[in-house]
Amino acid sequence: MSEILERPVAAAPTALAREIDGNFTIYDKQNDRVMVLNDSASAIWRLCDGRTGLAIAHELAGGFAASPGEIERDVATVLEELTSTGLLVHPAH
Amino acid sequence: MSLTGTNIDIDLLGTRVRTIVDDLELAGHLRHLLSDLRVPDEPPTEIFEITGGVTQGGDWVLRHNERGTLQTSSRASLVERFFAALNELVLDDFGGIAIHAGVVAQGRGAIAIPGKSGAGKSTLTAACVAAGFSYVSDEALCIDRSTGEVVPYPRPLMLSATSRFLIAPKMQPDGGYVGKRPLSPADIGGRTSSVTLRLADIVMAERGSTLNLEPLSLSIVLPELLERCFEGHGQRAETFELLSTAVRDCRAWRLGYQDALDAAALLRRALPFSQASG
Repeated sequence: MSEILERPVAAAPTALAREIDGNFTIYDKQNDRVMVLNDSASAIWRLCDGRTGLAIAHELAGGFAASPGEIERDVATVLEELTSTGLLVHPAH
Repeated sequence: MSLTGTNIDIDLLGTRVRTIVDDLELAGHLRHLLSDLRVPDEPPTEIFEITGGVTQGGDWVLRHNERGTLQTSSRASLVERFFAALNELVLDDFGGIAIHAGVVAQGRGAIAIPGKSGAGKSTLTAACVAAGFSYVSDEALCIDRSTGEVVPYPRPLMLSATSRFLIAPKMQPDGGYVGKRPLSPADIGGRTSSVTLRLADIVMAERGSTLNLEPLSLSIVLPELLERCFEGHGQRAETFELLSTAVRDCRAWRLGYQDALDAAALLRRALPFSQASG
């Protein structure tokens, strides 16, 4: 299992997120850029409130047709990308 | 607009400007172009002076707050430079959000057509005005930060010769304008909006595409609007928050077109009145 799934994740203080038309548009104050999340990334972002990636994957499992393993991989991919761009951080427990 | 001899006083986006013009013919031309603008309640803070010309037997001279800006033998060049200086001044002074866009209205609903310079938004805006939409601006969508209302910026429409021929083919020739010529909405059979406006529709126009109008997600439009803001990066976070609130109840569209008149006719037929338009 990807290591990122074991760590809590939350929106970075420099990420300003607004939900528009059901998806999140995020303004990155640190880098002065805007990112628009698609449906699945928005569903993941909505749950980034300090819970772990694994908890997010379990929460989403009931709403998507994919297998739990596939969901965990997709969640890990999204979390890695959003963490690498500085929009998500790993808060202390 | 208030006339005192050759003084022309206007309030443009909250900046109070007095233009003092020696030449009577030019004064009449500018009065016509600025006739839809608000009369200021207080004394002007910015003064433009235009001297010279045929009646004075020499070059035209434009000054702003007693500093020289331009000296030219061409009246058309002087007028173009005057409106360019006015545009830069009022947009710099404006305390709200200003986004590079043409704006028209139906009822109380403003329709913004974002686009950078040269993208064809002035021509499309003029075509919309000629088609029956009321005129708000051909340069900027201006939004009041505290109320979220659209603040009209009805500067004269600036149209190239090609666009003028397209929109108003029977218009008299140009009076010496080589580049863009300023026109009032009345010059193309239209009118300026005079009611309180809220942003209702955002139209992302793509010139060179097949004529078509289709709904678009607002989440795609918001980054485009932010990219076209006039302000510097220092206020971007606040602008992002205000814009995301301002667009929340809007509709967004992608408009493909080849001919601006066809595009305007399509918008007139197909764009339903929104709740904000009532």
